Amino acid sequence: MFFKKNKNNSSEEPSNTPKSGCGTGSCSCGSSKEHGPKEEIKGSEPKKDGFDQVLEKKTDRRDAIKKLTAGLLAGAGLASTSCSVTANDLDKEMAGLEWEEYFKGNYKLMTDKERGETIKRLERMYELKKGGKINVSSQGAAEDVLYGYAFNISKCKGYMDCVNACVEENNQDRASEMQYIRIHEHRNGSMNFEMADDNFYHEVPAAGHFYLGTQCFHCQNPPCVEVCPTQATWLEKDGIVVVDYDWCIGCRYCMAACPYDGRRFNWATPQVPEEEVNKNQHYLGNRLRKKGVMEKCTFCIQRSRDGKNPACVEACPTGARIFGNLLDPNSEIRWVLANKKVFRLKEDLGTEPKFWYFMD
Amino acid sequence: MNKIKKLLPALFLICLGWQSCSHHEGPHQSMADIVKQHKEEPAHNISSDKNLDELVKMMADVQARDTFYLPRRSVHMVSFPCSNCHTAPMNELKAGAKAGEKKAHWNIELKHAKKDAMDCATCHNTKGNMDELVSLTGRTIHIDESFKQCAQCHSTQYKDWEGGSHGKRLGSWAKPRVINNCTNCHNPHSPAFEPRWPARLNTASTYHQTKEK
Repeated sequence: MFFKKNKNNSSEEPSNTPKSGCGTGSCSCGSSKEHGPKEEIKGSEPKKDGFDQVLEKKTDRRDAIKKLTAGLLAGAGLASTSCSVTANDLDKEMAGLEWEEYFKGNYKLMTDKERGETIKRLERMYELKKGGKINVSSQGAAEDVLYGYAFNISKCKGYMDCVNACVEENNQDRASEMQYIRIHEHRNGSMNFEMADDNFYHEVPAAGHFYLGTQCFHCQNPPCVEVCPTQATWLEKDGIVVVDYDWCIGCRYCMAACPYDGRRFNWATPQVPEEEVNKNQHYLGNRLRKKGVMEKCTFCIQRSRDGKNPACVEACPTGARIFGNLLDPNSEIRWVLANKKVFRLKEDLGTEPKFWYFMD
Repeated sequence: MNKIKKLLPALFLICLGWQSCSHHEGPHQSMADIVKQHKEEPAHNISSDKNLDELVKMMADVQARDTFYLPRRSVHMVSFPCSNCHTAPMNELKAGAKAGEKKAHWNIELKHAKKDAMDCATCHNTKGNMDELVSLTGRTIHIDESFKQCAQCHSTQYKDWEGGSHGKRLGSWAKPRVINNCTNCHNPHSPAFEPRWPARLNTASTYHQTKEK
């Protein structure tokens, strides 16, 4: 009984606080309209959460926005009769695209048609802004594929070729030197990350040291996904943890929740020189990000879903990086798991990373 | 009534258990379990073929757990076939040359094992067909299958290479598997990798450090 009471109290408290906060009348979040569908959903199908509401809302909102956009365009057209016609058309198109983009839904909830539309918009917007063409993919996860990665700490020599390849492939911010991969130089006989040198620049390999690379481990039980308040990050069916950059609000909860330093934040608008932009992109992968959103390694989703190896695997001159399908009993990664003494970092947390380390 | 009262807490516990189970239904599953469940060929149709058009593939002549391919090496070697110049056995060619004259590949320095264990003739067929390598027992090995030569001494590495933890996969994670031959990465005359400078400055945490300071 004591527990019950306590539980009741604690559940009442948070529901009370927002009410008192919004009870000013001008605020709409406490209105009875919203309470209706919430209770209905809870009653009929307990598994349904806010998604369906979001979906329903979104379609309503979208219609409204379309009308607004039309009005805006009409207004803009009226106001700018004196300017040149072609420039106006492009401006109008851009404004329309931006509106549509701004109010699009979460990628996870989009239908294939909606995905196709947003990709078309993104490609067109890039063309309007920069003049070049990009190719954004929305390729989904294949059946019977679960990506896994193995890293040979005897083979890695700290050459850093993987980092270069990763930055180029994934259009990372050059200004803040964002890198998904970290190469830690450890003294032989110790694996204390506090003592590791992450800033080496000398001839490698240094005598008496070994090198260990970290990046997003694509945990099968990812804590970063758990904490995201907007569900802007999730685990795909093929085991890749992805981020919807347009749904991320930049709260950095995921960054704090990740025990592996796997996530990066764009403090400023990422700078990528036009000639260095990798134009072969994926919606959930290396498409150009904006200020204030999270990003991370996606096992080069634009490459891996196309059958290729991630850029780091391809660039590694020592063969220390092994990538493959965990569900294929004949894959190299499965051979490594079966025949080598493998370990993962912070295994006790139960995050189930799909990234193993091993020695020769 | 008493029975029902006794059953109530049990029912409550069952409900609680059921609830907590359903709560954990999410994606959490141990990787070991997931991997163990899959013993059959995956059904996806992703293939490495389209990513490997430019490579001249050859099937490796090994009894491995799964067929794999190697890039053909002989087509890229400028002075292959060797028999273009080596028209006669080595001792005859040497006898015909002027004293002290060095014609080709005289700059090759063997930095591979000790001199007692290895010289040119350990791998190269100096007595018969120069285009082929020769095993320790005198059998010939095709130049494209040089891994057989290396495997004679480096059996551990060979096992790892065949399995997948040594060497380098080319192009694609999907099948068919194409991997580098030993000599695609290692210079057989000097197989160790020389130390070098990293490709870039390791700035992994400089950014953070400067921020903190």
